[in-house]
Amino acid sequence: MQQKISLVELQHLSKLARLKLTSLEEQTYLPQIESVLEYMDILNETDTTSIEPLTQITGLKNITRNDEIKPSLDRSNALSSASKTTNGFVVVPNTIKK
Amino acid sequence: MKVTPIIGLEAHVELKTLSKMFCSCDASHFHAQPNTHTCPVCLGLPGALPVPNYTACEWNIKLGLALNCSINKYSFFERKNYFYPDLPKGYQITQLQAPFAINGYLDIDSEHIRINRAHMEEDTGKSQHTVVDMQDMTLIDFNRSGVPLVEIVSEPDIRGSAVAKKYLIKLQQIIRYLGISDADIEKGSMRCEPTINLEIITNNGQTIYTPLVEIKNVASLSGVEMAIEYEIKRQLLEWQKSGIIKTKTNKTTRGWDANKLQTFLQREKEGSADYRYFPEPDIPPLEFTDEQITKIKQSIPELPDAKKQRYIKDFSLSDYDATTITNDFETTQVFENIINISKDIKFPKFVANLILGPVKTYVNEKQLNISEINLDPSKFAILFDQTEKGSISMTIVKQFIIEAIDPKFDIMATLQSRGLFQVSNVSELEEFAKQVIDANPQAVKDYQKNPNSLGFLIGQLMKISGGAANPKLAREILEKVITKGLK
Amino acid sequence: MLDITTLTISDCHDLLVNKKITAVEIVTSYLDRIRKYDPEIKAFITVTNDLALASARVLDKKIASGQPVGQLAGSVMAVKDIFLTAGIETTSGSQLLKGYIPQYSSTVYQRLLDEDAILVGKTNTDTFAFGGSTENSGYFTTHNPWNTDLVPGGSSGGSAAALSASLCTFSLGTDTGGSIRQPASLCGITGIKPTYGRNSRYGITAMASSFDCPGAFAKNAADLALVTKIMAGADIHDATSSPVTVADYSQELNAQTLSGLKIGLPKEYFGMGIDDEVKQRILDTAEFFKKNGAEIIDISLPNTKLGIAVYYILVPSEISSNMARYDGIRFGQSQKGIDDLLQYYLDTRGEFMEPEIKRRVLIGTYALSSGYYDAYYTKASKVRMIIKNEFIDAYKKVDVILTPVSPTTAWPIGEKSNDPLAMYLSDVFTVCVNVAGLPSIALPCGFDSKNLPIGFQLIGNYFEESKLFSIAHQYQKLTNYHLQAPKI
Repeated sequence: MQQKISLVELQHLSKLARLKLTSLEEQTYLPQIESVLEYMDILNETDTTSIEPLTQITGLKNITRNDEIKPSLDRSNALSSASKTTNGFVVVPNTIKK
Repeated sequence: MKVTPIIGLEAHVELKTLSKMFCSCDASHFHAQPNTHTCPVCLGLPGALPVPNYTACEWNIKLGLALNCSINKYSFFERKNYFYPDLPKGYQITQLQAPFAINGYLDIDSEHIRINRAHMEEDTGKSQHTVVDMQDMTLIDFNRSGVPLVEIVSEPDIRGSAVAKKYLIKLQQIIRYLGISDADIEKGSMRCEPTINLEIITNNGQTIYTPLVEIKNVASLSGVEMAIEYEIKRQLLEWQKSGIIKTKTNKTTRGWDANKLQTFLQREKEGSADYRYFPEPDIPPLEFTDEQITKIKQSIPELPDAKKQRYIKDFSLSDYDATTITNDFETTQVFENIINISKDIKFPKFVANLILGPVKTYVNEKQLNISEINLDPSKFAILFDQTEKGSISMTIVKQFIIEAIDPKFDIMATLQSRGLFQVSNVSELEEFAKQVIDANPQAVKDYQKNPNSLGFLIGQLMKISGGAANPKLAREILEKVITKGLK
Repeated sequence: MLDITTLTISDCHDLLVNKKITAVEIVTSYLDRIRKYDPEIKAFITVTNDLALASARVLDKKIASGQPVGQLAGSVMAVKDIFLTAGIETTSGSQLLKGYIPQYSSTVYQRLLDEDAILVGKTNTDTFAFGGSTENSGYFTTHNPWNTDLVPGGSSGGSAAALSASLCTFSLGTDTGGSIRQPASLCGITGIKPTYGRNSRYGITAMASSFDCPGAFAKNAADLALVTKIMAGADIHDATSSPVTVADYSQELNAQTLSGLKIGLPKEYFGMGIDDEVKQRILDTAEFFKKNGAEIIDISLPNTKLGIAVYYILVPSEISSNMARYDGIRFGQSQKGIDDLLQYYLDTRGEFMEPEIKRRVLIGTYALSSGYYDAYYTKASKVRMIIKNEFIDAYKKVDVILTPVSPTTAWPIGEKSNDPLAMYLSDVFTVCVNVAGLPSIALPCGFDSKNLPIGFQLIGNYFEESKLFSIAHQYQKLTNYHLQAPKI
């Protein structure tokens, strides 16, 4: 049977998901994910051509709020768990390439 | 060789709702202290959930209708997944498969620009780059995070920078007429990203296309125009040099450098982005009924094109005057507020002349907005009446309409006290005419030979009246007295 | 002498308001017991010792001064550590959130506090509720009070073990694919997974948004009915929370008689690797209902076998997106001193995410990526519709559906932890309920030959929680399985 996922694909996914994997992790996860994906083939036995996908379970519609302002968090509380702040800003790694 | 630019425009417009798109934080962020308009939802804290702002959805539909779009009665939100520090949840809530509005158009002069979609999404936080302790840093303010945005995507139907600019101006006008955004490019409440490539028909009849380029960071209307112009030239040169043509994967992103007036490469291989869109499970779908849509449609005010045609037809304004007034929503509001005071069919044209003349000059000089000054309709009416009676000159009208911005300025009293009423009394004017004729026999003879030379005698009459004579009446009376004599 | 920790919510409440015992006494009894037994069971990540005592003193003052108190005054709750508790560390069982002090509280937790329930601690869970044994916790594995060599089940294993060991009056869990019902079954207690949307998800770290369902464990169905009534109902902060009126579950406990009740027994739930003893016990339970007047109707839910595949495509897909906010910027642990943005993300997430997060994020990223989206995400969403419709059809014939919860009783710690697929397959009897969004109550119905508890579930139609509580209450009036406690 054809392989569902290659090492190269796994590496691509880990970059897409911003998730560093060690080579040991790659070796561990690759066959595990492969076996899970192979198991999913069971779905192909069911004909779904005339079936609509179900993405919302509640059947609810039009749940919205009115355009009203409510108090925001106090800034010191909002930023209380941020890794680094300065002058009320959140500091992040430099997003501009040098 | 024939070169045709192919341009599509993506415009992002920040709606001026009171609160944000998915939470109740204050949506205004211009000049607010950083990170003071934030909450668990717009900071993407663990466990926070979005609840959509109804007004924003309604305004998106309203804009869609104004852009001649069809409305998807059933629509839903989706997640666009990518990582960036200004995107707190790691995904943007947006619409892909079923946007609120699709398949519209705008007509720009004779050009028909199709609009693919106008969909609802949320803004990101704002990044700024700075150096602290010799270290480059990026600082994030999440006040803008979650502010409602409508993205309007045109089809690649634009064939030049001038049309692109006109398209954006028209879009801006419509948005301002709807009152849903300031659509201010300089302040960032409207942002434009042109995508350009060239169709080149070579001398041997072959048609090729240059690679697609998306231009970002254009912060003014003239910038859009210049960036497109620059890119047209650059792509042609690039093609002549490298011969590289468009493929499915070689779209690039270039930034606009407003100082160097150049575009520069920002990101290569756009094709490799994989946003993993899927339906937003936290928000139930939205369904609008025909009645709701009709109601929204009815709430759309008269738009610039229709208004302009009406001004021309009903008020006999020139195409130029009608266009100039309707270009700016506030000006039309001021104009219509004034003309409502009188039913005289000549009044609108009188008002238009003043608004586009002295008033416009005044607000430009003072750097004010027309809606910020006090233009009292009753004062326009007084000046109009006096003009119609022939008791004041146009020069006085133009001067007084500016002085009358001061609410204490009393037009009638000032005309009186400064002695500015025109002499329109026939016997008084006949007396002046007689004096002039007696004093200038030669000029009278000249006139009898050449009727075009009356100007000199009118000038003399104005002089002895101290400038107070009604010039139109003065001419009539002089003509009459010379030909028929006094009774 | 009265052992406070054996009392139900209503017993405690009555004794407290009648001034027979004080809130401080109640809280102290539980804290003593936690101090004594939790080092072995390891149900708690955080014990809120001082806060609980302070709250108890406030409550006692209220009672002494004659002020009215809430319906849960006298109850001590243990809360799964994925519910945000303002000012109290919330880890989601992950190193990612180690040290995170939430700025706000989850809606359902707040509603319980408002009724004077006292928080005694935050309980262990598989990291972000990803798992069925608590072995995926970023901290430690919780032990089953019935046999501490065994898993308590999961992911709400900490809350289930805490209640089973009488370390609280009731506890909170979440059920995305069985995470309340399965540990309830393995720990011999009663647990409810309400209809999707019945309880607000606001302030609970998200696993799979269209599946996640907060619920509770209690000593019996009557207690559970009261707790659920307080938790349930629409929340302006959760657009998927339902506006359907919440019935007074406590008042309706005797509304449903067993006589005339139509119970469906789906044949698909008695194959697929089920242990013989478990199977026999569940069939005996059906027989018991029959003897007491219920009608047992054999039904078929033929697509049950697809539940696992649907679940393990859609849930990781949603997980891959829901986990994107954990970047260490606004909260959570982060790698310091990395200048490059991409490297920062890779290292922070790579370092602090537990293996099960990585596996599920990778599977979900795969299922949503271009080229695979239709074959996985869309296909699974369509089969989800088929499974939902199958249940809807079944409820035309029956009132409730009775099935096993876990194919086996509790298993040894470490037995399945290196085989994710085997672990996923053990969710076979619970996931379809979440795929369809239905309510289900799990309750004990006996023991296997190793004296380990066996549970069954009653799956109801949408928003028929009241019926489930009522049937479970009738059952518990006739049986005493729920009164058995582990000897610890």
